[in-house]
Amino acid sequence: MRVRDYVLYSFKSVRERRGRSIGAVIGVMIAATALALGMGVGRAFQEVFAEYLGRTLAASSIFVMSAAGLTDADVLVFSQLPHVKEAFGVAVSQATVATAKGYRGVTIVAVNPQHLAELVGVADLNEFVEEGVPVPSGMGVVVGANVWQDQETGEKLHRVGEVLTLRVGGRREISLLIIGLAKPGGLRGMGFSVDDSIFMDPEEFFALLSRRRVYQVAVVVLTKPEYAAEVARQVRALAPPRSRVFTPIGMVAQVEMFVNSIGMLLTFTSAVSMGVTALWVFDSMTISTVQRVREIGVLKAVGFTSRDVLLLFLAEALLISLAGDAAGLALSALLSRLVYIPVFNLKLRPILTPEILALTLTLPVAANLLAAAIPARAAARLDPVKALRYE
Amino acid sequence: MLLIELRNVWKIYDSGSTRVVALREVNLDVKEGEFIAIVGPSGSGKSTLLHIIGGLDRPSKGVVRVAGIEVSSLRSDAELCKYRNELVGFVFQMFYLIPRLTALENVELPLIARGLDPRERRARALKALKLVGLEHRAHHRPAEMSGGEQQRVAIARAIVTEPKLILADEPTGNLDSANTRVVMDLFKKLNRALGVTILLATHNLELLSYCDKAVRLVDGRIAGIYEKERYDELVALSSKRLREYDNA
Repeated sequence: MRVRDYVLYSFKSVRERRGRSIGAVIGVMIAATALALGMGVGRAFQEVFAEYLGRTLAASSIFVMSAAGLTDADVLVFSQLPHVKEAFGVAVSQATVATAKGYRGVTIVAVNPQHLAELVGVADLNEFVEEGVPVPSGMGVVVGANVWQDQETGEKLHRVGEVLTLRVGGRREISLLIIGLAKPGGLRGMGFSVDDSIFMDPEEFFALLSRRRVYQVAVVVLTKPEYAAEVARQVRALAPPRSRVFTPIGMVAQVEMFVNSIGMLLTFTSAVSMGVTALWVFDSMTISTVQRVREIGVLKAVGFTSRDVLLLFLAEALLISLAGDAAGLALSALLSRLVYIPVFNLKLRPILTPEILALTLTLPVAANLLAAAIPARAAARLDPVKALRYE
Repeated sequence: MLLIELRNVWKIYDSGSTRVVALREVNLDVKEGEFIAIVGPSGSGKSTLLHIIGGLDRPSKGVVRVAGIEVSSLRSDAELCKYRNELVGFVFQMFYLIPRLTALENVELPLIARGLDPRERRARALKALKLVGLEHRAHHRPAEMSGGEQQRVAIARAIVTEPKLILADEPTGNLDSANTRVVMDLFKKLNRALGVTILLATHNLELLSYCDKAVRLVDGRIAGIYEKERYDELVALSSKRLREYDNA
């Protein structure tokens, strides 16, 4: 028998019982979609989120927060610890800015310009700003996206060259010059939102806003993320009393667990779906075998071998699986563009790699062929005389 | 020249406590081109005999040889399928056409099994349909055809491989007298024009006029072989048995 004839003959049989066939196709489609998205989410986490965190401060840093403040000496001590690449202080102060809808809270952040890129999580400072210069200098500040544009309408509220008046420490007002507008979105560092911040030159910060030269946060950058626990222990021992030591890598692990759980849930849905579909295919093929006993007898009488009959039945399961798989892959491709998991400021969209597509194509097909093998074997083994006499 | 040789053929169905002898000590020779009727009451072994000659079933004992092939010693599924596909055409009482396929596609089936090129297959199937006078119904499904037409399609399916032997098991059992005549005329035409050997199992003794010879089976044993000139004797015997059956 020719391959083309297996396909044509099977197609006619599948078409004849189209109700059951459509049900099975839909089942395979759901299984394939859940499988592709489940694996795609896991891959997205690996490729986008984990890689992004690895690139930024979050995965390889320790944050030390102290209400009393950390001095340059504290920061220097942290920088001397084993497995520490560098340490730097970040001065932070809360302020409000007047808008058309009233006052809104902002965070004034001051950091040495050489650490600004690391803090905001960009490889190059030019990626930091949409307009103007990226490095605060003197009274010149870089403002976050939620400060210079309306969050709802996107309308520009402030421009480069404008003076921005802030209210700090109750009724005191200070005026600063906007020299840069930061780009919106994206995960940039931990513990504060870049979009709601105003970046200021540290010397000017200490002159205007702080009587003491102390930092609210110290960032300790490690040579490798795996040293986080060990260095955190030492930092805790050396930090001033009541300081809080925070390792984002632990949080990253939690996020990873959350994303993996979603992936697992989708994969579980896919497994259940595949199981149900395989049962459906088994049931459908068993009914088909019983309904077509005489037909099998005739086929054998005119010269079809048992192998031909087996392959005809398997080809039916294959056609159903391939149709469902094709629909599932198309739906997965569509959903991977429309659906995402929001993690911080990142939109985690499923990534469909060739390996994932190959698995999505083969697993449901294999499950259905396995399910169809039992009734197909029974059909192939039918005794032609008994089949022809079947009432 | 001998086409079929049966030597001491037995068929015993043994299902634990029950033992049914369907054929016992059957010896039969059929020459190429003969048109033979197998007659006998229900359960006399007519269908079993055809199934064994056609390679659908195996004898429990004895030798079956068809066109020089020892069918009784064919063991593998592939060998038996090849034998059935190349040498034998089956025609059944219930036609056994596949409902979702057209007449043409039904006739093509044995050639599909053979792996023939689709164009050649189609041409041969159309030729077979033309031979049975149904080329105009090629694209109709069985449900759109009368019983007589369906049986003619089944005959076309049987002859499309140009077999040496046609085994017809009660082919007119489901037909009215007009269609019975059409089908039997067709068998006669195929026998005469193509030289196909035909073995026809039937209850209907009126069909004997189409056959060269009749083999009478009783309880799985050949009770007699009747040439044309002895048909009256066979009919009288059958009528007598029928009366005995009625009186009992």
